[in-house]
Amino acid sequence: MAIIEVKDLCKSFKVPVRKEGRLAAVRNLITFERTLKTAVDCVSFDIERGEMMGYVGPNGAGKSTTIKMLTGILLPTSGEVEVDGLVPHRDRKQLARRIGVVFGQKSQLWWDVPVIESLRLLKEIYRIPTRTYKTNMEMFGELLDLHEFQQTPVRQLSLGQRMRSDLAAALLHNPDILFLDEPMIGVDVVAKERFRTFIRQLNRERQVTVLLTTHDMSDIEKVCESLMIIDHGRIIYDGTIAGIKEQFAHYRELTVDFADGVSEVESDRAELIEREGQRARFRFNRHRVSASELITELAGKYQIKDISVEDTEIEEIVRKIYQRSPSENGPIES
Amino acid sequence: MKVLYAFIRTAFHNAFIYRIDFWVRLISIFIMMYASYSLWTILYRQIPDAFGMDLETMTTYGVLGMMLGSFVDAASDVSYYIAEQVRLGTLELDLMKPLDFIVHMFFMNLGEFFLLLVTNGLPGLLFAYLFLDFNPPVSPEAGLAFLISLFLGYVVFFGISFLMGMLSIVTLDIRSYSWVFWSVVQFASGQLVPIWMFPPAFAAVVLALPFKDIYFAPMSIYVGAQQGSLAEILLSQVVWALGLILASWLVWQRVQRRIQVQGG
Amino acid sequence: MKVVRALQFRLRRGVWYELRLYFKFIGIAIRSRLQYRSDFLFGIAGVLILNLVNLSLIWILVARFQSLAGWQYWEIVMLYGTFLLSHSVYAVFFWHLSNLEDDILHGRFDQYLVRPCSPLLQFLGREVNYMGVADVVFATSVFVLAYHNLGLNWTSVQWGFFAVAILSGTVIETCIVWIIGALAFWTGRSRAIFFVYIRFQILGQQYPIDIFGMWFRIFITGFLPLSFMNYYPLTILLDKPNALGVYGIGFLSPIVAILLLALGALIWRRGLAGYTSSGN
Repeated sequence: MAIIEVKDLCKSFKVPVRKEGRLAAVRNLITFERTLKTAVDCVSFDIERGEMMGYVGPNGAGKSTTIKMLTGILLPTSGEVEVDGLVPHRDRKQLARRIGVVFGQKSQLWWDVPVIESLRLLKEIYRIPTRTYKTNMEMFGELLDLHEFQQTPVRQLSLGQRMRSDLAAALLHNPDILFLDEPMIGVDVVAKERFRTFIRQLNRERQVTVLLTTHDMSDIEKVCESLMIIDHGRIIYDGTIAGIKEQFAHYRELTVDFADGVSEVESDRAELIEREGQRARFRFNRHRVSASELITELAGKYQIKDISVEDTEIEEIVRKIYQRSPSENGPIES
Repeated sequence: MKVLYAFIRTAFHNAFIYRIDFWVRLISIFIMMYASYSLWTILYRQIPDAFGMDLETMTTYGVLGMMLGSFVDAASDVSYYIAEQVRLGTLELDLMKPLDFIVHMFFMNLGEFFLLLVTNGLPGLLFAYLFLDFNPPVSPEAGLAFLISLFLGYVVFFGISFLMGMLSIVTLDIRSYSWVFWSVVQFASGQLVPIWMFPPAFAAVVLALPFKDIYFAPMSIYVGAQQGSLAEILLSQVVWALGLILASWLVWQRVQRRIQVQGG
Repeated sequence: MKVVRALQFRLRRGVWYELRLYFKFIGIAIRSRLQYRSDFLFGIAGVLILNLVNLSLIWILVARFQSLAGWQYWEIVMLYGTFLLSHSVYAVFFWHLSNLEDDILHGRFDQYLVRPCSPLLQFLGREVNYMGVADVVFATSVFVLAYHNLGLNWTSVQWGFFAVAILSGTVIETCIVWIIGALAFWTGRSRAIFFVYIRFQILGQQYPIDIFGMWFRIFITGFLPLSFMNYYPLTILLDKPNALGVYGIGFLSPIVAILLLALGALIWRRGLAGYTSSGN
């Protein structure tokens, strides 16, 4: 059974209407009109226990709103949500014990006191048994290098250190599900890599379910197995990462270094997109021709020194999906 | 002037967003005007000689003080704005704007000032004339001088408020002191109790400070009870206004350098 | 049935659990505050200036008029001291209720909702304002001076009533600010209204309300019940007629406090429910 079940979930907000025209300012002071804005539009999805799901979409697409409904912060307008057998909004406090949440933009730790004080307080809040607390602190000390800065007040930490502390804070009570809402804004590459490793290990050892939103597609590629894309409040892709390439990445690229003396190059089945010195790049449709066929063709015609094949970056794919106009954005099942 | 117009428009739009604030503010002004009116009426009945002037002049002064209080205070939003930027660490962003920071702040608040003049001042005036025995200015010249003096008072208040905001760079949470700030202004500016009622020693101290130029100067001109000649009062206001703006500018230069050196 | 079960659940989970947490929060808040020493000094200076200014203004008025509507100088000082005692407790623990809009605006409120304890408690425990401590000291001195100068000699019953009045005063002020702060759940900001409240307090709190017209007396009794903090209880303790001419209004202070608490709780709950459906 899925640990997160979402069915026909909608959320719309009332926003005030601003009048325009003559004396608008005065009329605005007297009358009060509001209009409905839909942030999440009838989405349905399941996340299985132990799954690591990436959740992406442009700003304002409805990512945060979804997460807020899953964690019980927001009441859905309509539809059903069940997280770990609980209805988030109704059973908010109960659910809180089973989930961990990291909001990347703001630390949930106490700003002016050492990290360790915040963690001690969280032990009280979640009523964590001392043994669990100790085990977890050892693990975080080892994997997140928490002991390096646990005596430092949060406001003096670097972004990477702060993110690690926040992660420890969210995991201290052994949650079943971890919500990560853009956890790595402004974090450097080294810290990112360590974060990804940590999440993977956590998932492997404790079967923690992870829902990760981010703008960095390489996070998704390196951490998650599956991916949901939301745009204009609707889920437009829900499936595996391999699947999205299968479906959207029709083209691949082949880079060839030709031997000296080869001047004009061309191929019947691939398009030459760049030529620089002895290096040329070709683009080909993966459904029409395989890489090996293409290589065979080129090797037959010219003398070749080196060759490499590249997939289209997932970043590129997702960008293309966003760029399609809203009317084309029907849900796509894989 | 174009800049000013833009700021006035923005002020209007903000007023729309916070329309509940607007109504609460307006009604509270009416209540306060009434409170002040009734206060002086009751005290006058107690000892008529204690004022040194007739009741209507006194109540006019009191009611005017409450009416002006609301919108000259718009200037105190400066200190709040700056404190907010400091707290959120976005003061550096203001350094990058093409407009000089002080000029920017000044126009932003002037926009608010004009907005409140229209939306609070006019209804207040109407209320006062209809219900509270409110006198017009003692003479047409006094009326004109009052308007000039009011504007100068606003500039003085702006300067004080700006310096107050700069204080938030040294100490974190000046919002806790808004209470203190207002009490001092209300007391030393003669907004609530006119300075001519102060015992001489107190009056001497208060008249040496700039606060009196915010409210007491325009209000005493309005009711024709100014201490000294018109020219003297306006000159004092101009001097304080320029002095405070200069002080603000000097302090801001230092702060700016500090931000540029330390990166905020 | 559902309500009973919910209640039982609450009790089982324990008021103690939440209360113990609150004190832990406060502990952290105090340690956080200690990091900002300059704030402390400015705070003390501010409190001194504020109180001296207020007392000066009272003194100037009384010097002019001998008394204000039958209240002598030390009586008015006692009025002020009584208010300040209630206010100081509020100032230490609940001052930041007026800043609730900040937490809502910057999304900090969301964090309170993903933890398994009361959001209100988490919010209240977030800050202490130790410049309120200066208020306590000042208030006590002012009160003792006034008590001495008035040659009072209260019985233990009177002291008991005084204690209740102080406590009620704290609750009244806290609840008013709480309600104003909770408006931010709907409007997104409550600062302007809070400022309006402060203006009324500066205007009406420090004087016997007899000096104002009847409409204002009614306003500050019924709509913004600030006069229940100090004025009405003191008319009983100093045996003076009160501004509405109805005997014994001062005894109502604790009831007003309880009513406001109930109203505050109601508005808070509705606000919270509204927040979770709008999210701002």
